[in-house]
Amino acid sequence: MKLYEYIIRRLILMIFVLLGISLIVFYLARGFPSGIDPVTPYIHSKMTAEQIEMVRKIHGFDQPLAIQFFYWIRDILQGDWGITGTWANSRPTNVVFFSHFPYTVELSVAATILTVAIGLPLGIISALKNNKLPDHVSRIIALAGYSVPAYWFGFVLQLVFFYYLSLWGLPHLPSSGASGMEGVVSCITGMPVLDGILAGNLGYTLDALAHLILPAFSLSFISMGFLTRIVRAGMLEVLRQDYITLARSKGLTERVVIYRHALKNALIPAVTLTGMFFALLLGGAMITEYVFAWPGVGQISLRAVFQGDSNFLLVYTLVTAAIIVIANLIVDVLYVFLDPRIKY
Amino acid sequence: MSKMRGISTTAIVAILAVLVVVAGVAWFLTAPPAPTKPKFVDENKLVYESGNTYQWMDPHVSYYQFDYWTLWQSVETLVWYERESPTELIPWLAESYTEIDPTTYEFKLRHDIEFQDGTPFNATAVWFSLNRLLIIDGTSGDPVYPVPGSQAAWMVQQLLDVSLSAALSGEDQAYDAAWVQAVLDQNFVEIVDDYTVRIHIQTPTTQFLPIMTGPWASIVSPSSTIAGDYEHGGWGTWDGNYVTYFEHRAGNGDTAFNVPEHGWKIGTGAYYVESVDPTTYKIVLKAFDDYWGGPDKINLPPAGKQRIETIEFVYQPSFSTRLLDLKAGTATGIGVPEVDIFSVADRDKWVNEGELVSIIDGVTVHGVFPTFNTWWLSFNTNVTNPDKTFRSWQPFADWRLRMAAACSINLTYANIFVNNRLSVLASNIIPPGTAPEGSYNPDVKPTFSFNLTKAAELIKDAYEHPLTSATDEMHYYDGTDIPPDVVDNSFSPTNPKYIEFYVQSGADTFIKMFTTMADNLNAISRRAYGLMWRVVIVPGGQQYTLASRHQIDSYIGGWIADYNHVIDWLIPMYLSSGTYFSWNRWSLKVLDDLCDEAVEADKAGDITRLLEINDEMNRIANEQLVYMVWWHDTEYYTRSSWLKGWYMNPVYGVDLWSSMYYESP
Repeated sequence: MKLYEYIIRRLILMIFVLLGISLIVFYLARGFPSGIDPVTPYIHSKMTAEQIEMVRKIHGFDQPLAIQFFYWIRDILQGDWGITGTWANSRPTNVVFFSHFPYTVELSVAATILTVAIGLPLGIISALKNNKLPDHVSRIIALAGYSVPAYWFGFVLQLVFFYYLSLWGLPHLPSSGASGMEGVVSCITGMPVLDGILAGNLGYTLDALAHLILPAFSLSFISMGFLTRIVRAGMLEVLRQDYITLARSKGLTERVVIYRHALKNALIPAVTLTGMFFALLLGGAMITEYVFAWPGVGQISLRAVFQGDSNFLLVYTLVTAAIIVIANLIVDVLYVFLDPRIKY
Repeated sequence: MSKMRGISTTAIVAILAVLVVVAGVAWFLTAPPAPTKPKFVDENKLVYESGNTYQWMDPHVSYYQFDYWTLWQSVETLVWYERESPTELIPWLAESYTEIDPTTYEFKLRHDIEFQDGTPFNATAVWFSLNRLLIIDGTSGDPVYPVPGSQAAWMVQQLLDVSLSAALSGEDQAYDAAWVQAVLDQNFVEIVDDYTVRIHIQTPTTQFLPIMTGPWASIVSPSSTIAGDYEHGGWGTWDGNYVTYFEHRAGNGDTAFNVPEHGWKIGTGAYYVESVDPTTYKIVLKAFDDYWGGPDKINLPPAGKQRIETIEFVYQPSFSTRLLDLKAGTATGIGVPEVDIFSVADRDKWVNEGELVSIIDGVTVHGVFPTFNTWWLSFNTNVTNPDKTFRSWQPFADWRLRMAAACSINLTYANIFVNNRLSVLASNIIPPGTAPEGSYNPDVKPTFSFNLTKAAELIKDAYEHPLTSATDEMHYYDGTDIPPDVVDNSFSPTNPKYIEFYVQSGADTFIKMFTTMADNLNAISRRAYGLMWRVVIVPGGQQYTLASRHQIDSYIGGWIADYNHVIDWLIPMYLSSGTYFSWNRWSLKVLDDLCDEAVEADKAGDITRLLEINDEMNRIANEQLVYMVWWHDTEYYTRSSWLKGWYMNPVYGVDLWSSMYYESP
């Protein structure tokens, strides 16, 4: 099968996957017997029973579940993603989602860059200095990375790099938020760092970067651990291969052997991990965004969960499912370029 | 490399270096310098962080406590309360007011007050603002998809022709030109001259002035409001006719000021809204330089003190982060959940001595202050199955089981050790300080107390002599009587039954209390009688939707006064068509009759009679155990000690920052 045929087939399958997911999530959100009453986010405690029923009718929640699903699918395809509850000012769900999504993209990109920038070299060093001190240190860092709870690590970072440094009058990073200079530059992409760069405002850009560092590092620390281990394992296996021995015996420098011959093959599982990690992050890192008040989709979806907003949660689930499916596809396509032996 | 007893010098140096670093870090972490001047003082900014976000910033639409916090810094009303007093009303934007007759009040307006947009405050602005509220209308729900109408308009509409209100009539309104004219023809606000208005209500009531203190009764700038709404609505250019504007606005709460990303300057208050970020929820207020200062300038700092220039409301969902910000001096005040009170206050001093003392240098915890709220356990009758059929098992239609539940917990102990003593135990539903004076009567006491022996006796009696027919309070939803043999309250080990307490997730105090009650009751009835009690935790708000569908036995309910008047309690709580009875399906004719009498007494201005009826209603409700009243919340405020001149008004539970200033503690 040609590559483009493979891609088209996967995209068509994606539609069925998303339909199946939406069916399951719709039932869980609106139909599960002990589930959330979908009218919950639209009412408050001072409404009479009659007023609550009126709201239920207006939103169509009194219809049979199958009818509700049909209308929901129809509306989605027409671009009407429904309305959030009062907790999000009753704005259209897609407006709420996509106003927060750029922040999550920015955080995800930053976390992924940090993951690769730190995790990759650590994994390589660990493999090259196998069972020596650098390997031990690297493995301890990796272990800490995937053992430490995300929320705790976030708090520790805030404590050290914000609280104690500020207490001692030293330069410090902000505790939370995405920017301390809101409104200074126009919102173009919705990503503060990128908007600052596009506006040519160095102060704003640096402020946005300062706000980004702690949440991004907090997120990346977890995946960094996994990436380090994966790269290390991959490198160790590749370095044992005969063609590496041959390369060395031909007199190639160690740098050429490692980076031109060994690393490319060792990276295949690392690419998978990084791709999936990035895709998962795009669904929002709820805990990290909560701790750092990062206004991404993770934080907003957490609020939607607490408020029982099925409209938002349905859309959120669909979009993140689509992101994961597309990320899987991209990673699978990348394999073809990384390993010519792979054909679909 | 030299070695000493097998240890290399390098290793020794490395170990010593690590020890020095560890010692340094330990000292760094445990011996910080004394707090310096917080950053917000240098910037003359007040930063308030909380886990709440705004809903709607239009004072004529909003019906949410957190919104009021912002609004009260920015808008003003004709009358308001004397500083901390919850009952003493003073003219505010009005210079004076007179009751001409029971349905007519004349307000002389202050001169030389400007709105934040520079336009003058006058009678036309009052006429416009109060009619705008009526014209937006609303059901306290969602009559206008997707954005609600005014959720608070009903409070003023109850003083007028209720048939013109969707909320009060229960009928859809036409919201056409004829409807608009009908609303205006009520002549709620009559312009006498540029600085005199008369307000005409259709039914006399002592609630009038308290109702007029609410943010829904704010006076806003007509020109900026109309301009903003026209632009937001895409209505073209205003022709200068207010009726045209009202026809556009009719029944539509989607105004320019609900989520004002570019702020608004429509109030007369000390601060205008500079910006609202709909993504980060940050609200920025800026000092209005030409603010008139309130009567006798009481809303400004004392002479010589600098007014706070900027106020920021910051959404920070994590309490730990808020606490760090407070300690680091980047937040002036933070919201502290009740379960975290001892992260900021000394536990022993509070629990043992009732004194709230901050444990954080440079921070003061003000309080506790009473609030106008009550929490209770609601007992539901006329419970239905999910398929809407009448359920034969109606446990709380039986007074004995209500009383057994009420006797299963020591509320005094729970308030101290579970609720951190942060509430005042309730005698009945009316909180202290409710107007008119005398409404709160602690002598109308609950009829229950912690008594597991009594609970056991009652359950045993209910087991041996179960309810087998409907009580007087019960009826089908269409009002018809329930025939015999429909209700079957029998239970036994071979015919086990459940009773459920519903509570929202995250309400830790209530969850613990219900768990205690269930444990105590199960110890009595589970094995012996087959009657099991359990706690059901649901997402926030769902207990109300389930209660409104009459599908649950009981839930934790709470009411906070819309405005400070006893009628605002009696009607929603005791009238069969009121909010809570509409959920619980109680229908006590005696209470309905007393509600009617209370309204008549209020109309006649007969406060003595009103208070007698209030006492009687509370007595009946307590005897019948309609609600197991728990407590009235108190409130505390965690603020930097640099913030001076602090005070709050308990009616709306907000601290008003315009008169405050920064000074070294």
